[in-house]
Amino acid sequence: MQENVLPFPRRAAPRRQPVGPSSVVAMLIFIVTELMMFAGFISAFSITRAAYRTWPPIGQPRLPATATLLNTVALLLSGVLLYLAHRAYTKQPARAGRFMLASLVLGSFFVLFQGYEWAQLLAEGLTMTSSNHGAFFYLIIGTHALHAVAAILALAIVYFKFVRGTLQRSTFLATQIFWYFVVGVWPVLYFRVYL
Amino acid sequence: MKSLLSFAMTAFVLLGAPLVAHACPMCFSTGENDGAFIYGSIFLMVVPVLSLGGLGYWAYRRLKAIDEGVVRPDADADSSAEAPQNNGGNAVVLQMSQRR
Repeated sequence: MQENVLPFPRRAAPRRQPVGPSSVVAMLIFIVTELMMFAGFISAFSITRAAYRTWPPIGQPRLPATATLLNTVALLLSGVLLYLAHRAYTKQPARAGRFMLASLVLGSFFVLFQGYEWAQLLAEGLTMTSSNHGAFFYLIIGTHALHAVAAILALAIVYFKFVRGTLQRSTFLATQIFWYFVVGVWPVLYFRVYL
Repeated sequence: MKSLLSFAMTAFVLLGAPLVAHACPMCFSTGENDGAFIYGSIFLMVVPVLSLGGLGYWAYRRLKAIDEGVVRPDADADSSAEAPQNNGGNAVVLQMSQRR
């Protein structure tokens, strides 16, 4: 009986390779969703702004574009330093920690400077409810600031893990991707919102 | 009978369709920011295509490189056995660099 039974043709299932570490892939997917969120903000802001003859609306304070340009440079430099830390991590590991720390300091400077700028704008009367100008400014720039704070915390954790010798490569990569996103989206926001 | 009823219902809905849709921002546009609406729509259509396309392209290139042996599948993976020990600063980093 058994001899008459033909074996069911089975095809070997294709071997699946992971495209990368889960933390890196998850971070990339997260970044895609965040990009869409910022795109929605920018689109809504552009449509609202186009309805006004002058921007900022009459009676509303101007944003400190020149001072923020300096802050923008600090943030961009922070991204460059993290890239150098990435390179040093594999080629000149002794320097990686210094680059990481410098990147962390510059990122913190960016957020603190923004806090100072916000305090000044609030004193000048720009609030979430003062106008569309204030509402969009705090919504868009505030969302970015939240991301920056989260990324700085992640960078700090990465740095301390690095110093303690428990840093894993995939964790460092995922954090880098997050920080590059924070750095990369800022110039777009700066040109659209501040100028 | 059934098809006649479907036709009648469709015709009723189409005839009764409002000329102004409340969910349509263009219907309430003052005309000054029509360009912003159009460019905003194009922008919102392009961003997901580019970002998801970029992610897919990266995955395709990466898998191709793995298949061709250019990149090891575990190139960026962690290994607890190879994780650096807590022996302080630069010595730890040097140990990690030897993994590659």
